[in-house]
Amino acid sequence: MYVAVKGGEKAIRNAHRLLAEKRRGCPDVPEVEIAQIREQLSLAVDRVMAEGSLYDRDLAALAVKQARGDLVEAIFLLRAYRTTLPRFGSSQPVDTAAMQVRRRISATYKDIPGGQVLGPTFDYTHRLLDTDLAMPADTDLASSAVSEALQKNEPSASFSGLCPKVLSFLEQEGLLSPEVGTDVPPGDLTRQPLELPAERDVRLQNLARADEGMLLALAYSTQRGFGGTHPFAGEIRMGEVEVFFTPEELGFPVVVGEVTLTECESVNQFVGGKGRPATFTRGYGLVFGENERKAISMALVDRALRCGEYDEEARGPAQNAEFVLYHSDNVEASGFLQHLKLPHYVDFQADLSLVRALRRKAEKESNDA
Amino acid sequence: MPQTFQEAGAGARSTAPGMPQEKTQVDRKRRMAALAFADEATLEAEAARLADAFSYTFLRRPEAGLVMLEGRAGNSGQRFNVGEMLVTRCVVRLEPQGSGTATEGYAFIQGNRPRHAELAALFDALLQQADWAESLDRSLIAPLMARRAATLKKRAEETAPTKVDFFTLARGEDE
Repeated sequence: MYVAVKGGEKAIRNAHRLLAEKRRGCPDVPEVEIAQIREQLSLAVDRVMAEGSLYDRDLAALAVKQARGDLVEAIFLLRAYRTTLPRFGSSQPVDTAAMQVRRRISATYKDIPGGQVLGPTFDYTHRLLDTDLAMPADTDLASSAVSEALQKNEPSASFSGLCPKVLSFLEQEGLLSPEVGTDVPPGDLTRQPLELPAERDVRLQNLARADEGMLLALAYSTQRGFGGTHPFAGEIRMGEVEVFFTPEELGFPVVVGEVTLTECESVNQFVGGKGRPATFTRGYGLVFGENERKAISMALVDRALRCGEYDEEARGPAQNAEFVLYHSDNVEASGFLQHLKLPHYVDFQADLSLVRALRRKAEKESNDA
Repeated sequence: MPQTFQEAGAGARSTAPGMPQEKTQVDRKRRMAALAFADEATLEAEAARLADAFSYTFLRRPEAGLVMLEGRAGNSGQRFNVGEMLVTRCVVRLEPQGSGTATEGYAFIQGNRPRHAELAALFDALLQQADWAESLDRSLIAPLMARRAATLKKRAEETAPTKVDFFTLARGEDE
C-alpha cells in the first residue's frame, strides 16, 4: 500500500534558510568572493571542473562557494547546470604537443629535449604546516621575490614552454606501441548511456570525469598487485592548450580560448613473443586543470582496462570494465547512495512485519518442541 | 606576428597555410583569435572611440553554450571527449558604409561573456569591410596581438627558473 505523505514544507524552508546562514558562517568574518576562490583555491576549482565535466573557472568557483566547499556537491551543481545549455559542437582534438607547458617531467629519461620543468609543484615541499600563511602576506614582498628570481635566471630566457613529447622518442625507435586513431567521432556519455563492452573512447571519457578518489584507489590497487602493469611515468605535462572549434556557419576553425590540462602518458609492461618483437605498452590520462594525481591514476586505470587487447588475465578490480566504469561517477554514486535518506516508511513496515512474523513462528516452533 | 601559441611554436597539428586564396581566411582567423583573447575593456574602449560610425543588428544575440572538448589517446590515437567548455556565441550583421556590402561578424568566446562576444562579433564584421580593416588592424588588432604575445612570454618566464639543471658529482676514480 502506498501512503501519500505531505507536510514538511515549512521545515524544508527553514532548513534552507539555516543552510544559507551556515554557508555564510560567522558574519564578523568577511564573505569569500568568487574571484578569491578562483585564484586562491584553484585546485579545488580544477577538480570541480574536471569531474563536473565543464570547463569554466568562474562557474566552478561559484559552485564551490554554494556547496560550502563540498566538492562532490559542487560537481553535482556544475553537471546540473550544463544540462540547461545548448551544445554548439565539438572542438578539434586538442594538441597536447603544442601545449605551453608550465610543468613537464619524465621519470623514464633524465635528459630530455626541453628539460625537466618542475613548475608550481607540491613535490619536494616538506609538508610542514606553514604558519606564515596564517596571516595575509605582504604582497609587495611576495611579488618582488618572484621578479628577483626571474632576473637571476637569464640562461633560461630561451624557454618558450614548447617541449617535444617524450614518448615520441620511444615511438620512433619502434619500442612503444603507437597510438593510431581514426576520424570517427567519439562516443559521448552525455548523449548515450554507457554500454558494455565499452570502447576506449568511451572509457577515457568516463575516466576523465570519474571521481578522483575512486581512480586513485584503483590505480593504487594495480600498483599493489591487483592487476599490475608495471607503469613508468613516461611524461607528465601541465599547461595551456588552445582550443579550436569549427562553427558550422563559418566552415573554418577559430580559436575559442585556452584551457589548462594535465596529461600523463605511462609506459607499461612490454608485450611480444610469438614472432612479435618486445614492445612497451601505454596508458593515457588527460584531465581539466592542474591535477597530476588524477592524470596519473587515469593513465594507470586506462592501461589496466586494456588487458583484453593484450590477452592479459583480468585479475584485479581495475581491469574489470563493468566494475570500474559503472562505479566511477560520483554524481551517480552519490545520488543513489543518498536516495537512502528518502522516506522508505512503507518498505520498512513490510520488512518489519516479516521479521516479526518469522520471530513469532520460531517462538511457536520452539514452544511446540 | 604569430597570434596563437600554436602558430608561434609551429604546433604539430596546425594546418599548413598553403593556398593563396585562403590568405584572407588566415587573416580573419588571426583577427578572430586576437579578439577572443582580448580583454573586454579594450574592446569596449575601441568601440566607444568609434561610436556612431556604424550600425549593426543581431543575427544571434549573445548566448552561452557548450563546446565539447576532444582529445586523442596518446595525443595521436583514438579521439575521445574530455569534457565541455563554456562558450558565448554572437553573430551580428553590419550595414555597409556607402556603397559596400553588409558583413556578418561572428564570435565564439570562452566563458559566459555576452558583452565580449558582442564586441568581438562587431569587430569581426568591421574588419571584413575594406574601409575599416586597415585602421582597425593598426589601432586594435596589433596591440591585442602584442599583449597576447606578452602574456605567453611572461608565462614562459615564470616557468623557466623551475627547469632543472642537472649536474653530476665527480666521484674521483676518473682522476
